[in-house]
Amino acid sequence: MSDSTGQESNARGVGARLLKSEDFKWIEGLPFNTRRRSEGLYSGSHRSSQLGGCSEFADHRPYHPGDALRQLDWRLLAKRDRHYIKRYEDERTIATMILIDRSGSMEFGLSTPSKFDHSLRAAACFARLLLGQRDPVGLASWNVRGHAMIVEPRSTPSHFEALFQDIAPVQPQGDTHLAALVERIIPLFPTRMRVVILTDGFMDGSETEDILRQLTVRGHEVVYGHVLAPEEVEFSFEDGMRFEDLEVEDYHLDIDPSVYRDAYLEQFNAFLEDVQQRCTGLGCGYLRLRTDRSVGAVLAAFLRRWNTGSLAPVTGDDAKPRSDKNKEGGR
Amino acid sequence: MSFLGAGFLAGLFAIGVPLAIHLFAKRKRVHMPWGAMRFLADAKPNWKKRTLRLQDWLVMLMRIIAVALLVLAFARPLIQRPVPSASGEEFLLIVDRSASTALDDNAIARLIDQRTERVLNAIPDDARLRFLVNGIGHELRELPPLATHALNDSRNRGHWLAALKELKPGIENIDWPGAIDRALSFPTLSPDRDERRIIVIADAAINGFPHAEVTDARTIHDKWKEAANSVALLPVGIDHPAREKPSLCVDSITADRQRVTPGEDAVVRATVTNHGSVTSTPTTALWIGQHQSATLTEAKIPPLDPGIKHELVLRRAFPNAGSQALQLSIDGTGETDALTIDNEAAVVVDIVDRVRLISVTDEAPELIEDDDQRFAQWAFAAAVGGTESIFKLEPVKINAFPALPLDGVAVIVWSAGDRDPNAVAASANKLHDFVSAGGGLWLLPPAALDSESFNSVFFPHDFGLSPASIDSVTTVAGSEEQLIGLRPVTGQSKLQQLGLAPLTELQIRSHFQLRAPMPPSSEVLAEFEGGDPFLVVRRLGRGRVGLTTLNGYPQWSNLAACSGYVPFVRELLWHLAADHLPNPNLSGADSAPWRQLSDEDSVRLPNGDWIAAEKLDDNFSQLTPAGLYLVESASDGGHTPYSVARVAEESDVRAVPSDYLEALDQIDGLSVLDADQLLADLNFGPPKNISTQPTATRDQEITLWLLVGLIGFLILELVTAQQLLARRRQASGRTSVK
Repeated sequence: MSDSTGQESNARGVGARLLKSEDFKWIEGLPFNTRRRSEGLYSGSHRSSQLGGCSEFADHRPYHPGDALRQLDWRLLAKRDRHYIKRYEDERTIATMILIDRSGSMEFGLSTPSKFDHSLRAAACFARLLLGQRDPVGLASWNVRGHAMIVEPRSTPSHFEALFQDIAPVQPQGDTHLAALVERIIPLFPTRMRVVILTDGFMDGSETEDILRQLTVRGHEVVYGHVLAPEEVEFSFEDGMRFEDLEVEDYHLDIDPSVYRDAYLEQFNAFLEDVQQRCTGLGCGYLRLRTDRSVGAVLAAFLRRWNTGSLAPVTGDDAKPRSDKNKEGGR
Repeated sequence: MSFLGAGFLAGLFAIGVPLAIHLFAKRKRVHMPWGAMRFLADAKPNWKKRTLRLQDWLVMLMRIIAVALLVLAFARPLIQRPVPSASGEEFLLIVDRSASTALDDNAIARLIDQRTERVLNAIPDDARLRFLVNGIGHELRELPPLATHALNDSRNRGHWLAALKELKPGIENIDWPGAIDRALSFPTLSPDRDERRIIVIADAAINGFPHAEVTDARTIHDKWKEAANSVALLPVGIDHPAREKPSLCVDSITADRQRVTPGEDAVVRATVTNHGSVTSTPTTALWIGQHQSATLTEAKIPPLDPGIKHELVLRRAFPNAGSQALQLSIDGTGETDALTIDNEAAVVVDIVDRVRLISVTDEAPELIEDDDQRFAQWAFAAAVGGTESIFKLEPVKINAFPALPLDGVAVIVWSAGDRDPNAVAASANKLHDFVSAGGGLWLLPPAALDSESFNSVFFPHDFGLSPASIDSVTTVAGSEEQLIGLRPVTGQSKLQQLGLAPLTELQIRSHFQLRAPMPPSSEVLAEFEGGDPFLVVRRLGRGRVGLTTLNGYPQWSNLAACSGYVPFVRELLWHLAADHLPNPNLSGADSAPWRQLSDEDSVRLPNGDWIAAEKLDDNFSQLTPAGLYLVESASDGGHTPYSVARVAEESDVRAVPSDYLEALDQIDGLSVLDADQLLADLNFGPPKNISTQPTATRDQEITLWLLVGLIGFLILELVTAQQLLARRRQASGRTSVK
């Protein structure tokens, strides 16, 4: 582990094993700003929806009797002989919930680690980055018993290990229940928060849009991490194969991939385009996390674009291919 | 390249094994846990994109090469370079090893071997050769080729001859026409037909049916003339020393013609003589057909009086087209008549299908007089030797005549209107318009002789006769005894070419002449003395039509009674059919001399009874199954023996029959040679010194190299397979889902 995450190196817990230095060094030091005003309780680095504090000037308003005189702009009174109250921006923290899809399809990984493992690595990077800027981070998924498990956001550094200790041993299985998970989360967080969804999105486009809309209409900020395996994107199989569904038991297809390749790629690319458009249409951030690409490189590209206020999707096509043995620096 | 062990090449099928392993082993599907199932389930397959991918093709290729090398090593290949031939010739030598060559303790086979050796020695050194043997197990076998097909290596000759001598004759007769087809399927060395020459060395004396060789020879020639520049047949026979002539002998056999139509009878006459004192009832054996399809019919005939030449008359129908041989042998059955079967003779008849007999009439066919039909049928049946039932007259309405599919010859006997002169005139006019072959002269029957009816007939406007179509109307008033001789046409007349005997004794009774202009395309083959046409011929469609202006009805003339009438009709038939005969070189004029049975002739039935020849037709059905009966000639007032010429010949039929050679000579393009003539004609050199050791050196070298290559490939394949195995293990490790 790198020195920047030295506090985990001793414990070598689950989170420490997930967080790879070759991933994190790409994004270390990068801010993960919010695009909306924070409603957090604690002072932080994000602009709050409320005014207060003294960090940054916001605007003037006329003085009304009863206002605190210390807020009066004396300099303006001296110049113009008018009474104005000087107001400042308030900066608060913003909580971030990371949702990890645990459906059976996330288990797939042929030439690369599984999509679920890849999601955990990306979540570890996000969590470490956010805890570093003292934002509370929570995690939601299913535990080993199949129950929905929600780790509430906290900002203490020791919270990093608590995030993953129950979720990492989980084996993906069953259908996608992301919508149910979102419904469980929403009542728990009445204030604005940031939601990072890590999923392969193998569901109907309308279902995806419903999930995103439920979050965005409540003012939450959503980042959609689309986790995909290269075999799913390229479908470069040749011989006759038996494809066994990872989500539905005893369902398989015996096909010649060469015969189905064109139609599959056409549908799959349409699916990618559809998810991408629904995300940007709802003001959500979109980044594609291919399991054969470096997590850190894709996150770094996303954060740079995100912090400038752009909603342009990050597909990671130009990202450096993943190499777990990469010893060189990311930047 | 050729192979000494060509049979091992069948092992090349084994290369299908690695191919099958490659293709079918891949049928096992790889199980792939898959998440994006919904996109596969909804995808529509594009079967055009299906491709048979050859994975691990390198291993498969090496396995195939290894198997092929192994097979080739066993097959012992020979690398040959084409030997350029200065003469540019390629010989296909086919030697007979049929059952008949085993006669006289393989004497024929040994003779064939000697002939073959002489021919082999005589073929130029630089010529290329294929050596085929026919008759071993019904197969045409090629003797193993050596280092080269050329003869420049004397060891090749020795090897071939040694291999030939080891081959014993087969147990059955061979099918030469079938062998020809198989021989043509052998790959030839030269693609140029003009460079190929075919030499067949065959047994000429097959016991039982020698003259079938003639039909075989014709078939050989017909089939091979397109495949080779020349075809030479070398018949081989044994000249036995003179033996005692058999007591019973078939002196000759002749056919009245050498072409008949299918289904029609030909009359074959054979002369037999009892030169000894055979008293028992002889048995005749009659073979008819082609070589493999000949049918045998045996019949007993009455005992033959010694020293007198008897004539056997056979009527036989030929159902199939082509050349067919008729061979007759006669043998005694008594113990004292232990005769050989050498007393036989044969004749070949070509079967053609070109003649139709049509009666054109203006009346309804059912109204035609029976006598007319019967007379016409009789006349033509007599002319061509058929029976009336087979040579059936076809009555055709005049209006329908132009639409007849006359693919061949139509001989028209006009038989209508003998009672009603009006119908005669109308028919003449219509026939003239439609057929245009007639024109010329129409004869009216005596029933129209009264002047009243004549005057009523020949006013053209009354009967629709166009004045332009009638040159003149001449009345010949005469008694029934008046003679009108048929004069032969001189100068450019075709009558001379036909060789028709003039019908000098023709007597035409009182008649009228109705003359119409001749169409320009018609030609008169015979005419009356006054210049009126008697026989007119013209081309119609693809055939030719002959029209006689006089039928054989006895009220008109004595035409049918004329002795020259039947030959006249017969020659007319062949003249009209000349364009369609398959082998014009064998013309009908070459057939056996015609001799009509005279009423004075007597015919002896199998039961020993003698009947008059004129009653033959009535008793024909009672004759022997073979259709044979004896005819006793009484032309000189008694039973006059004929001279016996052929029996005095010194050689028996196992020698190459002279008539067989003559028949072969008539086949264009087929050379019939004896060995000496063959050597002389081909300008072959002197015999070579022949070594009996075959050459077999270079092939072993090649086999060794093939084995070395095989071992190399096997090592390579092992390495490749190991790499492949490692790759697969690696791939299978990655497939597992983490």
